[in-house]
Amino acid sequence: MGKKHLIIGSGSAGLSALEEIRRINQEDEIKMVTMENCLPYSPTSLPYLLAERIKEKDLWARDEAYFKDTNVIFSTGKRVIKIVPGEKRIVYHDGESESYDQLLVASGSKPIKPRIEGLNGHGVMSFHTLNDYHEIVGLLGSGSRVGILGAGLVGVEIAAALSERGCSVKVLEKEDEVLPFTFDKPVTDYISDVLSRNSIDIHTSKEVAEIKRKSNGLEIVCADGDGFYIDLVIICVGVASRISMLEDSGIKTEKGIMVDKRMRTNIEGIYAAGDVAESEDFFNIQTGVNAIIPTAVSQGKIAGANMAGKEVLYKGWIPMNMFNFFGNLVGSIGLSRQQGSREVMEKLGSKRRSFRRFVFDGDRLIGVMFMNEALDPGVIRYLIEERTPIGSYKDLLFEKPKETSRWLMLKREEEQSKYNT
Amino acid sequence: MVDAKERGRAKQIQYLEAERKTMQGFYGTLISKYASCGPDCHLCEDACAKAKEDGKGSRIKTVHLSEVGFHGVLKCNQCSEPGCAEVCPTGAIYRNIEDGIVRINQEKCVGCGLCTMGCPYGGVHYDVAQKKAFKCDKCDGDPKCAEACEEDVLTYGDGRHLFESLGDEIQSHGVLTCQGCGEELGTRMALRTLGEDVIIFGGPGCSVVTFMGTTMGSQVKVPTMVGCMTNLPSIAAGVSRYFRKVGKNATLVVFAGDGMASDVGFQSLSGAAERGENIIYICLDNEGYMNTGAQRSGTSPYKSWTSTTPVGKYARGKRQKPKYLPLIMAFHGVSYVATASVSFPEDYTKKLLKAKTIKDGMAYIHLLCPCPTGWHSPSDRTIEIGKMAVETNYFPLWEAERGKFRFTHLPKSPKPVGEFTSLMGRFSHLTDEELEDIQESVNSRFDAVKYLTEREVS
Repeated sequence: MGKKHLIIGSGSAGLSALEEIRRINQEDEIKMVTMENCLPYSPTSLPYLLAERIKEKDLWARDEAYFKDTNVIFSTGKRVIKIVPGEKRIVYHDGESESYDQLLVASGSKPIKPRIEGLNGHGVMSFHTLNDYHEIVGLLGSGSRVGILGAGLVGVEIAAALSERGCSVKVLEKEDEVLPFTFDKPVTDYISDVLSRNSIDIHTSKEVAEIKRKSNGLEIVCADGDGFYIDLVIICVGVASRISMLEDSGIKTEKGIMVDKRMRTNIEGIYAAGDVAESEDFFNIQTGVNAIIPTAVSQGKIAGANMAGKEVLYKGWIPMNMFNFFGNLVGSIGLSRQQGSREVMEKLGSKRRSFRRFVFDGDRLIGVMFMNEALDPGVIRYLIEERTPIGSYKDLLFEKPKETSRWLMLKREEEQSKYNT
Repeated sequence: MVDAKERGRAKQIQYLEAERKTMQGFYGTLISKYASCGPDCHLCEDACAKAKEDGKGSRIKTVHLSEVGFHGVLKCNQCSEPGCAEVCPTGAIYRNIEDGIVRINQEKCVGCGLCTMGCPYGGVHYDVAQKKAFKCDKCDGDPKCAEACEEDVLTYGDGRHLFESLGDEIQSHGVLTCQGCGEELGTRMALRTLGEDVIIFGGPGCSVVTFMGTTMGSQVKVPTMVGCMTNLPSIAAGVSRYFRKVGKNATLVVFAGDGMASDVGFQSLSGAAERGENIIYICLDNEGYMNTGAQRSGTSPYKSWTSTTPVGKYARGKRQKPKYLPLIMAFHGVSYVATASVSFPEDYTKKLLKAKTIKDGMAYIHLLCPCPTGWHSPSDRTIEIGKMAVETNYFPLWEAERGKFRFTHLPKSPKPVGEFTSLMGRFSHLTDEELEDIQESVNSRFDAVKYLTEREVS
């Protein structure tokens, strides 16, 4: 009998870890536990479900047959409340406990609740799970007035979705621009322009002080005295790692669970990956939680390989995001905001409709921000992650980003394959 | 009785058909050369866009960068571990194991565009207006891009044959040997070194899978001939003499297993060596009849488990000591004799090049090929095991050029043979006394070669 791998959470990190363990080892026992009562799904796809781009039956990232084929026990409705590393077991909310040889904590994240008066109670929701979705859909009528707190990616994504469903949407943001931590001016200006043109009401630099219950709905009262009358509040001010179960376990945490390059925590046999893990970034600038799917997938892969006994090191995460709104596409990959003293090339297109910015560190590309530009984001990511020398082609890359990046990628691949054989 | 026979035959045909299907399933569109498209040619893109009306655009992408003189094409590689599928939040992207094609289930695609970030090769086409991702599905086996291409940049066919016609490698990738096969490395390295101007002779054994294939034909790019175990050197000798007669310079290589060389086909080998036929004879020594189920051969090591020398209460593996074929060949007066190991590729390559220069007689190379299946060793430790065989003097590396013996690699402080035997299952039963016994026979064999290196023998 092989080892028993226990995976907490059925998100992207957990699933990719599972796949990697199975790729290396077909005998070990694998069990995946989730607190949800359904098949695995990604919270990322929920706004799209709200926008009715897919049906609920198409939401599931994996089906039952998958777990049968891979010989994995998939157990739902189990919330882990405690980890006891000394006895190598975990405790569920119903008091049952379960042993493990190797444990992966991939419990993901949960929405942050800001400190606002009147936040608890009917009509105020967060949007992170399928239950939230069902509840919100139940509360929505045609022409509902919805207030969204926070103009981050999830906030504007939901705003766009709800506006497509015919709701009247207001977005309130504390900072002075939309998507404040992902993009910066002039991209953010254009985004708020487009959103406003599509009848999404955006208010920046608005700190919400209180939510009042009125006879015909709710009132959001801001710190500057403004008030907005709405029916439903959705809180989208960000996510935090779900680590409450780790109390008294001795596992080191800060914002998330601290992990090394092999995704190991400070306690032997316990790994963490995804939104719950705090690790070093690709550029060796900071450690942090990078709560996006590509990071979760690669961290899960690394954790899975190491759990199965293979030593694989993580290269570090790079921030990347893409946002499609009303026929426009914006994206940012790598260090496209933190410019500092680095070499930056940028260009704003006519009518401020398109934009590109390339950030270089010496010979290497380290960040790209683009709006309505024909680019392959994956190819740009490749150039950054492979530390491809750009050399004298910086100007060409900037002038003809699509062709040049593809050519540089092909050139690099050619060199690599020569080196490998 | 007849029924059973017929049923067996039908089953075999069914199996062969299934195998043929899997092998042919992995067809691919391949770009033949780096940067060889015509300037501003968009034929493939146009054909793709026309064929794929749903996606409002071509999946295949040309790259024209006249500033650096580059004109090429980008397409989906149909990866075995697709980066696009890994990051897809709804599992809409999947790889069909039947045909190897990576497809997108449009019902499940939410249009988040993450796949375009997951793919480093620009293989996903994202339609901003439709909010959907599209990618190449090889037109389900009839790609319009390859049809439209006028420059022979895009061709479509069996993946293995494409490799053979395009790559530098003489032996095809993905041959049918077991995982971790030492012999596969041995033939591959030999063909890399000897070049394309060779004719291969193979006989029944594992290597025949490579040279003949099962249903797919030969998996090497050079001419091959498969004979019987008993007559292979004679066949090669005949061909060699014909080439000499017509005044052509050809390198004839016989690949034979140790069973063929030392037992079944020894008489014809011995005869050809004694007559001085101009062939290169490479014995792929995996110390047993591994192809047929790990039976004992004349060169299986002392005390080792084989399927015909079992280990139990009374039997303790092979009772006899193995013949040392390279020395036997050296005393035939062969022009060049060498031992080699797949774990020492540089040494092996030098010996192959020397063998190729011999034009007046036979060159014999005895190559140790660890066999994970027959030796019961982990498939990822083949190289390590081959190394340990040399470091313990179990398999000394030497050559004899016209009677002059010389070690080509001498371990400074030889390790005890136990470090070699402990790496594999066929020796797992050994007691300390038995190990001592083996150590003694290893020592005496090494001493014999050492004695010869200190003298000239003719």
